[in-house]
Amino acid sequence: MNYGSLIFLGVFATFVASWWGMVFAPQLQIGSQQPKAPEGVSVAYPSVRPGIAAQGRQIYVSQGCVYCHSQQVRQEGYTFEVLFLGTTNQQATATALDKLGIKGGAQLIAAANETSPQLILTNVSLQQASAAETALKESGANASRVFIPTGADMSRGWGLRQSVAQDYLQEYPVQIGNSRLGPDLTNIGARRPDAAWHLNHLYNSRIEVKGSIMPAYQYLFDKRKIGRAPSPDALKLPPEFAPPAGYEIVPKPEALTLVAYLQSLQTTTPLFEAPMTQMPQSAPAGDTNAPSATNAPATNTPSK
Amino acid sequence: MNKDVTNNFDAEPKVSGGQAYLPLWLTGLLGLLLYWGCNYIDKHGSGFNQYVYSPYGDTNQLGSFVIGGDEDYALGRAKYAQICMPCHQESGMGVPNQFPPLAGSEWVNAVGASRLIHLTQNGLSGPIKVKGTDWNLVMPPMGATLTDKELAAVLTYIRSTWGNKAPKVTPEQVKTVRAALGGNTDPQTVEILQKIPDTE
Repeated sequence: MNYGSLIFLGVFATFVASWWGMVFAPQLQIGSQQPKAPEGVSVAYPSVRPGIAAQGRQIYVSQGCVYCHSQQVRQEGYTFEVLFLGTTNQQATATALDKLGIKGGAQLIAAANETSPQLILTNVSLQQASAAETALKESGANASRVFIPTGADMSRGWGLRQSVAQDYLQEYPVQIGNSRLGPDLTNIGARRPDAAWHLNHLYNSRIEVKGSIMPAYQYLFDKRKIGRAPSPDALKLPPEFAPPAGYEIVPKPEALTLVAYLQSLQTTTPLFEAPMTQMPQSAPAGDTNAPSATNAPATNTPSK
Repeated sequence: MNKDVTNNFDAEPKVSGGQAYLPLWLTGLLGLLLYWGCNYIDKHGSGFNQYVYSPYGDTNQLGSFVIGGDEDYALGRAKYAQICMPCHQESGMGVPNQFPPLAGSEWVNAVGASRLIHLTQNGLSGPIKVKGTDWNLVMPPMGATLTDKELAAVLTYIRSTWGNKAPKVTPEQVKTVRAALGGNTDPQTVEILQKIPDTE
């Protein structure tokens, strides 16, 4: 018997099925997405990167940052919080807080006002949050519910919401990455707005993050003799990393454009498909993906 | 070894396996799995909608989350984008030498909102000092077309964004100022505004 045609058909069907599932169906589903202005904003998102950041993107690609850094934040769930912002009727609000099972009502009422909101409920469902909000508002209090996306990536402070297809419309090739030897960079521009931090970190990441395993990208910088006056661009380095006296470290254009690109990496725009609460976000105390000091490799201190 | 077989080694082996039927219980089980799978996709797939990502269920659910956590904030941001942003910019920084910044402005961050309500309701003409810089441009009465709630929301928005931390503005405050102005639609000047107490 000759099975050739049967085997061919089987293989063909397998390829057609995977092409259908991985190429054609996604194309039908999200292939028509265009940059759009989110609700209440007149600027389309995502916008084209400014030229210097677009150049920095080429540096990002050529330096292979993608091999250790991902650009995708994942979300596992969501939850609500309720903020209490003061009241006009203390007695009624105290009763309402009591009914909601919140202890320390008197202190809360004393402490809460519009500029110092008190967190009274965390990790509740939309129904619970709305019910609490309504009950408090009926008692003459000012309360509001806050939407909080949750997940391991959010707890690490890597983003306030998950990444969705809309975020990548201006990216080609997409630098999503599949390894997280370093932290996710989706929102690094918002987490670390300071260019000086990034320059120091590129020059030697141990300056800014103790125990970091990132290679030192010192060839993106020039070590040169200080002329008549120090360059205003020169890095301000701590003594143990500083060049010998009379020398300064100045970033090359590659380093400056790369930093501009890193600063442009921000997903701080809420989208319909990825809601989030805009909050003033302060940089975390230490980078959360740095390994513990015990397994830190030998420091890559430059020869001086 | 049979002599016939060794002579025909390049022929395909003649295999006849007879016939075997798929057991009925397996057919039933696979049918049930298919039924459950289809139902599961129907329930969780949200019709393959491009705007629904896990962990969200469907577009109605997404619509019920107020972006920004607060309806007034969302309304204020929408009105800001529509009315104020062309001049004062998305960043609230204005345009150097043309439109003064709102971010960090002492006029925006005043404890009382009365001056701001007067300014947006009737417009402003003449020189004004903001963040140590002199500005001189006519601002049209941008707030006059808004409802009490909308003007309060947009003022609350500019007073709580870009690092500004001033108290909220309520629709009642806007109503009071509008009642006090009566039919007066004259553009405000800094001299008029400074007669209004800073804390009102």
